[in-house]
Amino acid sequence: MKKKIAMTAIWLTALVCCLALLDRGMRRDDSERKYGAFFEEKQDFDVLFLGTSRVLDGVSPMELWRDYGLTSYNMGNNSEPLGVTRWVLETALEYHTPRVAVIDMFYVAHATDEDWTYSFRHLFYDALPLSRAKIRAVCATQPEDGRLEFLMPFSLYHGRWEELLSGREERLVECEPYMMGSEMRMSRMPRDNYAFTDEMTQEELPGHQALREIAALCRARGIEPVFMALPGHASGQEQMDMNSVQHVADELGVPFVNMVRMDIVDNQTDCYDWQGHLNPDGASKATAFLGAWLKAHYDLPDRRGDSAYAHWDDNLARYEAYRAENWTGK
Amino acid sequence: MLFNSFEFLIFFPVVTAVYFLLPGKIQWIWLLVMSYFFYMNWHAEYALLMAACTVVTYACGRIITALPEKKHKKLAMLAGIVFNIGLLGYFKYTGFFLDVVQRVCDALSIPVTTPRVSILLPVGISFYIFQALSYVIDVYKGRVKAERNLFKYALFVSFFPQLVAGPIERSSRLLRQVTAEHRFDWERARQGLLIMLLGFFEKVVIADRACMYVDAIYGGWIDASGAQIALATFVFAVQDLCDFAGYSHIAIGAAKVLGVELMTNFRQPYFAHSVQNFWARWHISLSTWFRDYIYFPLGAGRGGKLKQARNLMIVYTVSGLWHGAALKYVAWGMLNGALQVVEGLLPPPKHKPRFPKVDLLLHILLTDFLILITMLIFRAGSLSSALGMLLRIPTAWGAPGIESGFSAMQALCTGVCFVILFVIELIHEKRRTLTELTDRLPAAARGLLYLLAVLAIIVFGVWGPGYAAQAFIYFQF
Repeated sequence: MKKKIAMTAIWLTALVCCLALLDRGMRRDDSERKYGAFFEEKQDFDVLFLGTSRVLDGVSPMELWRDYGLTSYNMGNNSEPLGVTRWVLETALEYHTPRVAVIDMFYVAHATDEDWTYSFRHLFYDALPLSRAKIRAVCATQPEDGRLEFLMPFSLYHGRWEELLSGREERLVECEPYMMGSEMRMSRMPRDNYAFTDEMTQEELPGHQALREIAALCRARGIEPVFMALPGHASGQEQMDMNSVQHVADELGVPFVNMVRMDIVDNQTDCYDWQGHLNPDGASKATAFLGAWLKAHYDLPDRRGDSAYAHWDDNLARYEAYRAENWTGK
Repeated sequence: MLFNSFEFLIFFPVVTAVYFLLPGKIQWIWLLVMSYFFYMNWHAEYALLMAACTVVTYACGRIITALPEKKHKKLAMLAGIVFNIGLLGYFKYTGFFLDVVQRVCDALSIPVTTPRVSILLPVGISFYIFQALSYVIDVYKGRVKAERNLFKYALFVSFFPQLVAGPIERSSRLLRQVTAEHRFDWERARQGLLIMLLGFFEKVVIADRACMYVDAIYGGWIDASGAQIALATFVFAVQDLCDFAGYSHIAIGAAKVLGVELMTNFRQPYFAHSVQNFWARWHISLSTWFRDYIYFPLGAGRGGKLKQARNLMIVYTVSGLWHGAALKYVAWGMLNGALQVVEGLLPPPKHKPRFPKVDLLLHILLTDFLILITMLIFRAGSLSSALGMLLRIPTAWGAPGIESGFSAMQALCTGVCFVILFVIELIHEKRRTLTELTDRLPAAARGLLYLLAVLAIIVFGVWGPGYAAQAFIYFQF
């Protein structure tokens, strides 16, 4: 009897180990490349950037390090509504407590449960270790019958054998771990300059309440919240929605850096697609502006030369090599 | 709760663990509670229907036993049959009946509009009602004694492994088993789990993957080529077997772990050498039910070939209706009956064949060909679609066809699984079991083999949010 119990226990242990290995082997690696370095970093970041693909492509933590000595992570994700950003921030704060959290306003008009493509939900959740915070976030952002795949990604990815065997794997994001969450889209699409508008959407938008919660979350932990709108093409309605954030920012006493209304980038040369996402040149300009602004408004240390951050220099070298090799400026 | 769901993977081990921890005398109460819990996962209110069926058939059994007069006993039996068939008729056939009336009125230009009804069919109603009916008839015939304990009888009707899709058991086999005390047995549990593993392989890896191709081709058959329709029909024949036999294997395995032996429901049907032989191998619990409760009472083969033909046609028409409330099922049942009638009319061979194995193979292939035609009717959207598809197979054999969405890799996986299934069926046909074969291996190799089998089912199985949850085909019956 004892022998049979022992044999069964060994067999079940072997099964669990094999499943764990399969789980790792069959996952998409986008999530790990995008967020893995965030969980591996030992020291707290100085700044976290959160929001949509505007952030993902438009802010380069490595250039902030190179030019200002700031440690930061780009948590931006494609088509991420502000209601989700609130939960991304809360789960991120389980691992790091930054000095400043900079929140993108581009999707202020979008509700939590719409427009967030499932692939991009997985991009964030797959790398996030299972924890109470993750369970809370999944429950808050996913419908009841669609939660299991985020808490147990293997339930989805076990079917990837076909993709893996046929070598048809496609990347969701052009990230590498040394980019600290940002990606570089290597192309250029000239866009016409757009007219600025001072008008603002008057009604309460789905993202406004999320902004209040984000501000409260930050302040409860001694973090400075900053609202921002990155440069790049924006329609009249998008500008009106982003302008409406000023009311909420004033109400909460949070600074709102609206770069849409500033001549920071050249729409003829600095976008990579028709939606106005920034290419590496545009991202460099926006990052330089943000670095200067952050340095001017907050007492953030310059950590260059600190041996505890030597790996940031290594990452920077790899980042610059990658950029030099791949970005032709065309 | 589907067998191929996460809920069941939690439910079954918990039920089993508690079952064997409980004192023997109350084990059956736990099974009864869990069986109702299992059923109520679909529509809790429909458990009342099952309870009503249980109470009425229990009462009929008690009344039949208590009454001295045979004609009164018969009345009690008929009351039980009418009540249960009435339930089945209302939930399953009301819409069909009204549709037929409407068609007839339309054909005769009678200005009548029948109401459109939408009645949700309770899961497994055809199975548990047939099981309860067999009990009433068996008590009347004196084959079994009426059960005194209503709750023990309720467990016979609702025993969760075979509740929603069979095998349809008889009280003489099942009632005593489910209410008996059972102790955990390692060897029995191992065998039961292996049978369940086979069931999961058939259902999750083969049937649910095959259905993707079948659904695509049958859904767009008007533009599909004849070759695609023929291939999809072949794939459906395997899918249907794996879907239903898969359920039966999971049910039989789960019951075995709990110490209950259920009857074999499928015996390599595609190795049948005649249509009659096919029905002795396919859904055996239903075929024997029809044989014992309709075919024999009608007189079976007594009274000549004509009467036998009539009886066969009645049985298979009813069988068709049992499978679904639609004309295509009636046609499917009648075709199966007609094929057996024709087989019965054929003269026996005058000489022994020179090459018996070749002769057997030819018979098997011919039988499978005929069964494939019946399968096409069974799977088609309607009888007219089925006729259109049958016509399209020869007339549009080489047509360009449609995009099935089934990749080469999926097709390869399905093909490999078909070969594995064929080997397993061949082993069973040779009267061997997988357990016997694996028992020859050293313990470590056996453990490794089981581990690989589980992992293969998990990786190659169609489950989880990436795939729509595929219900078992026979749940609708």
